Amino acid sequence: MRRDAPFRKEAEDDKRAFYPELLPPYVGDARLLRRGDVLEPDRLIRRGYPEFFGSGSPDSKGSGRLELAHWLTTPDTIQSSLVARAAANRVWQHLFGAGLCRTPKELGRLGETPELPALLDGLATRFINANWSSKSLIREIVLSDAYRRSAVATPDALERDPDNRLFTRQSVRRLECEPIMNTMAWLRHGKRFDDPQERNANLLGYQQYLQHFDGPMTDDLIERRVASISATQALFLMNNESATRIIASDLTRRLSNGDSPQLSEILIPLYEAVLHRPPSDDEQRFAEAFAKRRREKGANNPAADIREFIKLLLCGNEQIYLE
Amino acid sequence: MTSSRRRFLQRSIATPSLLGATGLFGAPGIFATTSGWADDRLVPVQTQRLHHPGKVKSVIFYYCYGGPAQGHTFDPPRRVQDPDLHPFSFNRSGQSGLEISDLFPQLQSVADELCLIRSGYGAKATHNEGGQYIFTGSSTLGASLGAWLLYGLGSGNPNLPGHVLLTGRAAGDSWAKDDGRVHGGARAIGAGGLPPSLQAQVIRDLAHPIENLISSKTAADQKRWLTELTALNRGLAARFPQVAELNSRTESFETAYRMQTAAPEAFDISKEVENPSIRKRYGLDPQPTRSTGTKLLLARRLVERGVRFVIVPSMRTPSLEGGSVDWDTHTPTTVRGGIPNLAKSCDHPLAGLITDLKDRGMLDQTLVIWGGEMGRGGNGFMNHNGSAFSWWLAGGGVRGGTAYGATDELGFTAVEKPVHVRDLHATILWMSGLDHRQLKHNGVGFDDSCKVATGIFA
Repeated sequence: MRRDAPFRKEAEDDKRAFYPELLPPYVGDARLLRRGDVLEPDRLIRRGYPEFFGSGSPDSKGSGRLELAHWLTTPDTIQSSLVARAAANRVWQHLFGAGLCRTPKELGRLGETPELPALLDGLATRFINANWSSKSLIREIVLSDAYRRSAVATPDALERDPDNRLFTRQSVRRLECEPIMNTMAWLRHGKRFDDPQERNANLLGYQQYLQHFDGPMTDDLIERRVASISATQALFLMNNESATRIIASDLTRRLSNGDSPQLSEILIPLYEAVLHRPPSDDEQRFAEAFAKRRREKGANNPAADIREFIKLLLCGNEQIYLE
Repeated sequence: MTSSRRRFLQRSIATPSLLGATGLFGAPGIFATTSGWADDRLVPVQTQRLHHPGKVKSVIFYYCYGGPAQGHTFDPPRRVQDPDLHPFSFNRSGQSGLEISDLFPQLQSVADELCLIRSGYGAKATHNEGGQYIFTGSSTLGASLGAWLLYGLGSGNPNLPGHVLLTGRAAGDSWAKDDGRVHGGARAIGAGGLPPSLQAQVIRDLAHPIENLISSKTAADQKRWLTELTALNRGLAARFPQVAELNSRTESFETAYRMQTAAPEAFDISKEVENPSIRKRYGLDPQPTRSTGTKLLLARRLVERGVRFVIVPSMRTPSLEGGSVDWDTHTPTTVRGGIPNLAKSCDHPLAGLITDLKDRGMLDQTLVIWGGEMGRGGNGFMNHNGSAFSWWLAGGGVRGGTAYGATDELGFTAVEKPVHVRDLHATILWMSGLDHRQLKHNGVGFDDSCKVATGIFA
């Protein structure tokens, strides 16, 4: 927002003149424009289904979207099996970090062949039979043995399937932007925000999260989110007040419960709050050494120790990586 | 103390190179003195061990968003179907007599530095995929050219990102209608299967090119903190040795730390813009060239400091016929009204950049590229076209004043000495001293069938 401020006026002018969505909506068949010029309209072209699926034109009243949806999901047609496969593949991709077919946008000849085509077909068939219920599709996948496998790879598995093409293990991957924001808002306030807008309002600098953690652009259709790693992301977490420091202070206050405990005394609830697991023995020693080093430097402020330790955890890899 | 600091620095290079992260590499003459540690003047220990001698140390890529029409810019068609749709004249320019559109009077004046590649082909004729393909040579997940260059040459300055996309607008610019970006988004400038730290760093705001640079800690405290962070991350990294990302992310904090001092210096153009000849050369005052000039000046500063690959994307500009346009000129109106302004915003600053690089003795090791994600075809060059596109290269040892290859009579298909997108990548890497056939990382590599278009530079 801030970056656009000086240009708001131009943007507004521009919109009024050129953004068709601000004009009264026109719904219906479109005209051919000769040489692509809006000033040279030609004959009306009837809306129809893509020709490569066999053509045909629906009798559409209104926008035609309902007819399109019906057509896409008509049982036992080429288009519906493609839709079901594509949908099942995307759900799988979301849950495993990669689709059964690795080119989720292209399931045809231009894409990659999936290693496990029968699995994809089975999922797609059951998806249709369950009346296109995404919920049951997701349930089937998350209850599978494959989904519950560990991400740890044995040397043998790495040797045989280095890229995990056969999903013999879970993938280690960075969280998407939204779960990171959810987590941060939760850590700051100790409660869940189901409404993204409410979450954003309770998360200082939410736009910076979108910017640094590959938040989606609304004007770009993508089949797969990317998870970038960059120094500016690190700078944001390290130096931005709102990113980690304020969250660490709020969490410290909640964990301290009015007392002023030492880091070692609240390490277990701290780890459980941030990483949802108790600390290992090594990590307990690490935290003790952390507080000790700070004391040796002359700092004698247990609350600050806790705060800094939380900040360290928030910057750590485990915080934003799924395993 | 000094030695441990050096060790720290050496350990924490975020960009692996051919030789592995065992030393600090710099392009000759580039010293990473911007770290703020006067006693750690980082003279390059050795020059790169290249596959063969190469001249290019850095690339500045002016990317034309939308796919510029070659027939209106650098490749005059021998026959036009509809003269009404060809409103722009061409002229022979320079001693070489290269035919360049009169929309680029300044580039015409440096024509003898330019190598026009008129026979590019193999681009994808849709924008998003095309953008991804032109930078990565792949429609799926591929490493971008900048990532490969950085991978092959190693970092020229460990304190700055080696691969940068400059977006944003200069102060007081009321001309550009957007900040500039690349089609294909993050995947176009990503690292593909290479270490993720090689992906381009996106600069979004020229006034604050990199946010969050100010730390509340002292440098010593921060360094200790980084050691602790590395220790904290060790557990996860040990559990998943196959996931290179985890180490890259730890390293990204170390790069971030060094960037705190190096970046403000590199991006501070306040001294330079006091110089009237610099202002004039890059066109920092006129509205149409203000932002592009500023970004190209920044690109030159970054390249001077060892950054390997800088992308400066074109911005949306106002059209003479109302509204605003990018290089995706689909209609007679956008051709007539849009292309002149799109040309105007880059013509002067690019010519200025080439002259400036030459005056500084940097042109020989800096490759300047102009091009988009595809070419155009059809009547009046208004349609998408992957079978012919024009790029031009300057500096870095290219043959100036030449036109490489040619299209058919209408200018829609590359017919003479065609250069595929991937051949262009291989050629640019070759000019940098890198053999694409030997660039391999974890099973990621180049197609061995890529050809090096030696006529471009030899």
